[in-house]
Amino acid sequence: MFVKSSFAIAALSVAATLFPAVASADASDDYPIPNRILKTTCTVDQYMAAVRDTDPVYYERYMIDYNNRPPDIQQGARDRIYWFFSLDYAGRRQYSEDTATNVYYEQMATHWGNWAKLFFNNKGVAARTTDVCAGYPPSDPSVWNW
Amino acid sequence: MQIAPVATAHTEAITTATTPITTPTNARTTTVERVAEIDLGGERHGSQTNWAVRWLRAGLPAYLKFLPLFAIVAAAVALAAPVHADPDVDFANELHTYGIYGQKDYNAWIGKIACKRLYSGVDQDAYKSAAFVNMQLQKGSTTEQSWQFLGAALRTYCPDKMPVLEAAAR
Repeated sequence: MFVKSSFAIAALSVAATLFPAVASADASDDYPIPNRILKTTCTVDQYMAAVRDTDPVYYERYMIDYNNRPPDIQQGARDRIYWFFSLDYAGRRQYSEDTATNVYYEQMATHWGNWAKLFFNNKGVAARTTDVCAGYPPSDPSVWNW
Repeated sequence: MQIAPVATAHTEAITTATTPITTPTNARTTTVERVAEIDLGGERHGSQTNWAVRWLRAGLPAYLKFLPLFAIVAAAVALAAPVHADPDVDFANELHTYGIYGQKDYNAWIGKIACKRLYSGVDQDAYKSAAFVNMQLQKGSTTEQSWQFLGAALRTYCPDKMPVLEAAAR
């Protein structure tokens, strides 16, 4: 029994060394932008409505920050996040890598450092929220009025 | 350890304060006289201002002259705290009676946000509010606790929304 299982483990580790690419994902798959955000099919409005209900304090704090920005910065942040959500998985992952490797890549961040905090900064929030976001209306401008 | 520098500061204060009083040409003494003239000239003898002026002219060391002021400030600081109680503390205390614990600030946020959701129309009735609250409470919280939380939140943070709760009770 013990011998058998050692063989099995040995076989597995050999397989693991032979085919590392199968299971591995590099860091940019989940960093700096959570994987759930790269993969979700929800719209910005759906996602935000879901955060409002599942992580209300996180949403509240983001919206306080948002409301303290001048209108042009608010508009810029909205445009930028809608643009990001319009990308497909490959595009989003490329963007994630670009922001990770070049601190000046995202110009919006030079105007408002936490402009995408609601979307990019918290894996737990992204996970809880992308679980339920599909149940919300795809277009709901009221999520920006808080 | 702190006593030595404090003591020197006091002695310095006394020496600097006593010197101008003995020399009438000093600007500091003139200022006190001028204040006295203005106040006494206004026919307000025996008023608080004149009492204060006499106190200031009494030739006491500077740090003694302002003792009453310090006493008033100290009393204000000491008495102010209990008068303005933090509503979040009352709210947390009420929650404790329902067996709801957790971070005071977090619970306060949830209470205030529950109000905000009623004002903005995100939650149209108390059932939606209670469901929202239930999602934010610790796992294993009962429906009863959600309603108790909601009642406490409305009472504490938006009493004008209490009719929403009463409508649900009917």
